[in-house]
This record gives sequence, structure tokens and C-alpha cells, in this order.
Amino acid sequence: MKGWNGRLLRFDLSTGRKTVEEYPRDLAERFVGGRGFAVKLLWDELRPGTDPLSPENILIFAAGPLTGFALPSSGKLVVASKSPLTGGYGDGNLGSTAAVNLRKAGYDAVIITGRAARPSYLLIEDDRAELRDASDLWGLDSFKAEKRLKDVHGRGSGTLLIGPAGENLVGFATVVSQEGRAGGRPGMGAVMGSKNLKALVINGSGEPQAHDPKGLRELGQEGYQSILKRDNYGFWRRQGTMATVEWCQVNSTLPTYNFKEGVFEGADAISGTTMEKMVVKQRGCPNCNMICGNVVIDSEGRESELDYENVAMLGSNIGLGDLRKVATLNRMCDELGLDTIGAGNTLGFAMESAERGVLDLDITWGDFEGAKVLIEDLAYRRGVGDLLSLGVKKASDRLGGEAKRWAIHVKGLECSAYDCHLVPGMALSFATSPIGAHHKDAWVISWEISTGRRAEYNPEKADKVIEFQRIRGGMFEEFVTCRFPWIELGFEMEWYIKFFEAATGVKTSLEEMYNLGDRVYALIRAFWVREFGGQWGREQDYPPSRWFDEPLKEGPIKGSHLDREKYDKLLQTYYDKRGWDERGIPRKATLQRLGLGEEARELERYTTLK
Amino acid sequence: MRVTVRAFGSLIPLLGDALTLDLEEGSKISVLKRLLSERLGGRALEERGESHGLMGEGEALLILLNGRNIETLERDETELRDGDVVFLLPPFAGG
Repeated sequence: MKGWNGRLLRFDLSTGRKTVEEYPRDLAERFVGGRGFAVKLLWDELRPGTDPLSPENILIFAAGPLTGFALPSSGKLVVASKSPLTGGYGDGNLGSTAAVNLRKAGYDAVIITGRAARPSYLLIEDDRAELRDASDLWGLDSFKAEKRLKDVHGRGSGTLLIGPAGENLVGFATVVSQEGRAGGRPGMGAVMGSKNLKALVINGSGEPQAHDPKGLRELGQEGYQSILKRDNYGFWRRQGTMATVEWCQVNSTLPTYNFKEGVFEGADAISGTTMEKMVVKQRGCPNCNMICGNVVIDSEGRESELDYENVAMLGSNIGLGDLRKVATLNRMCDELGLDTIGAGNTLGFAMESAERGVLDLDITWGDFEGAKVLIEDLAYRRGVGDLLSLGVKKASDRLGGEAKRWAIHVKGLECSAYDCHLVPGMALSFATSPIGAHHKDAWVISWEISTGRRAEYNPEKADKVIEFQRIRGGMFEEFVTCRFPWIELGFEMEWYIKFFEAATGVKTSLEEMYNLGDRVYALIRAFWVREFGGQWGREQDYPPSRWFDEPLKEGPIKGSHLDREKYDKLLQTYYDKRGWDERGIPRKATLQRLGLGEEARELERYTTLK
Repeated sequence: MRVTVRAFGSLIPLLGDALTLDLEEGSKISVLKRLLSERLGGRALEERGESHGLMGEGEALLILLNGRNIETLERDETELRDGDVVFLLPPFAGG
């Protein structure tokens, strides 16, 4: 095989046993890489009902067939596992030298099982893979631990780490790399922590082999040049994703006061334009020429890398209108290995619970000092932080009463930073995302609003959600390339088809890539259904009740809210178009059409397929 | 009368963050669009939408008058008033 390395590295932390496995070409062609590999391996190898924090859970780091080549925005990998936060399929992707080095070391993915006897890190260097003692790293924040590891193994080492949040099994602990690149919102860091695995350090001396090395190199160079010439490139370099603060504010979709409102009186103070005046440097992922990480000096004099999601969730969503203070909370989350989105959402939940007298906590909206204390308490599970570290779904279940009303999540994953009181298509996107309420797969909100028909529940919205899920949640997650060149600058999707063909020698088409996206989506849904069994139903694909029941009180579209009956019809349209039944379970014929006949037979052991 | 125009995203380098325009009483959005297109060297304002990633039909420059989409008002025929704030948002895909 060219393009792919064709090898998986398996490591059992309980025994220290390493296995290198050549995988069948069929896996590469049917699932391509990244998320596709991850869900297929989890489906085949994870026993249903496994406790996500037990040694039996499987943790996967998967690159794709384009990773490690000099191609635009391709230095990323996917981390996946059964999620301790949601109980279903969980993944995330992050840009890191570790992704490039994994491929240079000769692997496409690492599969980790078991639990180390003591705090450890896994060192991978070409054919060598060994467990090293991490007693002196355990307890360190992710920045300090990374520095120590790089002092020992070299500045060019690829590192993937957890902070104290992962060690303490916080439900929304992430995997962190390079002081601010983080991935795996549904508790992938906690899975690492449960395995006593502080870090992976990856070095490789080889290079992935392309089918057409010269052609691929030239294509890559042309691609980089093409990106530089795009109209929007200059502005992107100035603000990156931070431009979204103002965009959301003027469209009443900026999450504010725990998603009660879509406009924030302090929005200007946390906007991309405000940030521009504060930026001291920029950071990006490997092999990227449209870097998006803007670094500012926070209120404590430290560097903090900002983007839209963390600023909205740790700013407007908790009523904090001071960008340097928001930057401090953001940097603390990165150090501690807490998901910034989950943390901002949970802080909003805590502030509202305190305001309502449901939680015995001395904290108010916009309370910076209180937020700092609570973030630490979350990571170390101290006091009320212990309850809240479970995530807002479980915390609200335990609090009982009406607390569910202001727990803003889908399937247990905290909503990311778009208020959906008047964007039903985006609400559908959150609700049907394969990991819970994350915006990554189908960011339809811009399209939806600019059509001028944001209030409608028309079938085209279901089409658009599926289209984006196929591309963003499908092709880009399997290639493990960043979606930004395409979505932000209009870098055409045909480039990726050419990259793939030159890398692997396999002819493909956008249509085949859409089909791949559908296959991966169906298998992820099958994974959830297998875990939930008879408890699975369409209510799992509903957005938070707040958007239906509590109209906006502020801004130009005040009074707006979602409509249950119309939403339910839109959801059914989505199911029909996907070939899923009224419970949101892929029909038998759909699975067979997607080449998942064997998986359908397995799923029939847990539910009746229609 | 005076109307404030706030550009967004890729329009900022071309139009600046905010500009104030003096318009005749009763001017409509269509007049504003013509004036702005002149500032873009005769390039129609709508063309700014074409260089972005897949958005599909219906994707266009979004124009908000005091926070409300002009598509839900009288579109180009919407009349402007003194003190109005017009937001210009090119197709945008962040996140």
C-alpha cells in the first residue's frame, strides 16, 4: 500500500506488550483513516457495555493517509474512545507534531488497551515502543509536563498529554499538545488518565511513501500557493475564528448567560477586533499556512492562545466581558487539560444553579475570581467541583428538580458556542452530531442565517446538515485534514481528491467520499445504539429544552424560540434522508447499501432493525 | 441623515471597520448598496460572496439593518432612517 503505512501499533499498558500489525487493505479503502479507522476498530474490538474508565476500554490515536505529507493543514490526528461523559462514541481531533511523527515512525494508528501499574508515558520511536515511568510528571500541568518531556526527548518530539483534569477523570478532560492544541471533548483525557497514561511521546525517522511522490509534492506546493491568493486570506490571518464573536453578536447567536440569550452587552470587549490589538504572536498546526491560533497576554501576564469557542464559552456564556481575564481562564483550562467549551458551559450551569439557590456556591455571573477557583475545583474535583466534573447532564440529574432545564447539552456533551433559539438547522446539527452537541461536523449556521430564512424548518435544512456532515464529519475527519482552507477560503474540495489519489494511487470521487461519510456516520450511530440497546430513541436527537421553552428576552429577535412540533418533523426528514428509522437507527437496507451487512447482523443482537 | 455602516470579515480591509454616510432623507438600501459598490471600485457588493467554501444556493452577502435581516424587511426597498446601523456580513464559515 502507498499513502497509508499499512501498520497499526498496539500497546497493552497492563502487560507492556507491543504488537505491530499489518492491517488489511479493505480497512484502508472502506474507512480511509482517522475517525473511520477509530469507529471501525472500536466497533470490532470493544465489548459492548464496557466501563469507559476501565482497563478494557480502548483508546485510539489515528492519523490519515494525507498526514505527514507537505499538504495544506494536514498535521492532525483523531483521538477516540468510548466516552466517559456520554457513554457513547467519543472523539476529537487536534493538530500536533505527534500526528506527523506517528506517520514518520511507520504507523497509521496507535491502539492502547489496559492500565499501567503506575503513572507512565508511552515512548514511540520507529519500531521501539516502551513504557516509561511518569511519577515525576503526574500532577504537573500539561505545559510543564510537555516541557520536561521535550527536554528529555528533543524539541521536535511529538507529544500528546493530559493535565490534572485527565488524571482526576474529569468528564470533559481533553488531550493537549503544544500548549493549547486540544482535542477529545467527550473525556478522551479522562480515558488516558484511567489508564495511568500521562503522555505519548512520538518520534520517527522515516517518511510516509506516496504513490506519486513528485506529483504529490507539486500538488502540495500549488495548494499552498492557491491558499495564499484567496480573497479572505488576509483577514483570516488577522482574526482567525475570533471574527465569529461579532458575527454571532449581530445575529443574536452568541451564547450568553448559559445560553439564555444570544446577545451580550460586553461583546465588543471580547471581539476579534479587540483581540487584534492584543496579539503578540500566532501559532498553528504542522503543515498549515493559514494558522489560526492568536496568542495574547492574559490578565496574569502569561501567554494564552485564543479562538472563538473558548472566548465565547468562557466570556459571554458566563457574563465575563474582559478579554484578558477570559484569556486567563482559557490558559488555565489548557494547562489543566479541561475542555474550554465544557468548562465554560459547566461554569454557566454552576452560576445559574447558584443564582437559583440550587447549588450552594458563592459565585455570580461574570465573577472572574470565582470562575478561577471553580476551574481548579473542577480539575481537582474539590467540593462542588466533584459533582460538576461529571458534566452538566449528570450533575443536573443528581441535583434533581428543575436543574435539567438549564443543563445545556446533547447526549451528555455540553453545547458549543452557538445559541440556537432561532436557527433550527443548527439545532438539528448539534442534536445529530455523532459525539453530542459539537459544532464541528455541520456548521450550517452561517448558511442558514444568510439565506434570510433562519426561522424556517424547511427540508433543505436537513439536506444541508447531511451535506456538511458528509464533508466535515466524513471526508475531512477520515483524511484528518483541517476543514478551514475549504470552508473559510473556498479552497476547493477537488484538491483533496487529487491529494488522495496522488498519495494512495486509489481513484476516488467526491461522491465516493460522501458515501464514505455516510458509512462512518451509520457505524457511529450503530455504536451508540449497541451501547444503549433498548434505551435508544429519537429523544436522543433533540436539542436542549431551553431553546424551545424559554424565548430570548434581549436583542432584535427577542421572543424567538424553537418549535417542538416543527423540529420533530425536521428531525424525521433528516432520518428519512439518511435511511434511518423513526428511532434514529439505520435501517437494515441502509446498512447493507453502505457495505455494513456484517455490522447489521451484529447490531441485530441488540435491537430490531427495520 | 446619517447612517453607520459596519463591515465585517473580508469586507473590513476594503471598507474599514465602520463608516458614516450622509444620505438623502428617504434613501433606501439600494442606494446604500450602490454607494458602497462605488467604493469597491465598481465591483458589486454581492460579489464578495463568491470566494468562500461550499455554501450552496441562497448564500449571499447578509445585510442587517439594526440587527434585522433585510430579507425579512423590504429587502432593497427598505427605507433607511437617521441613526440606522447597517451591518454587512459576507458569507462566513468560522468554527
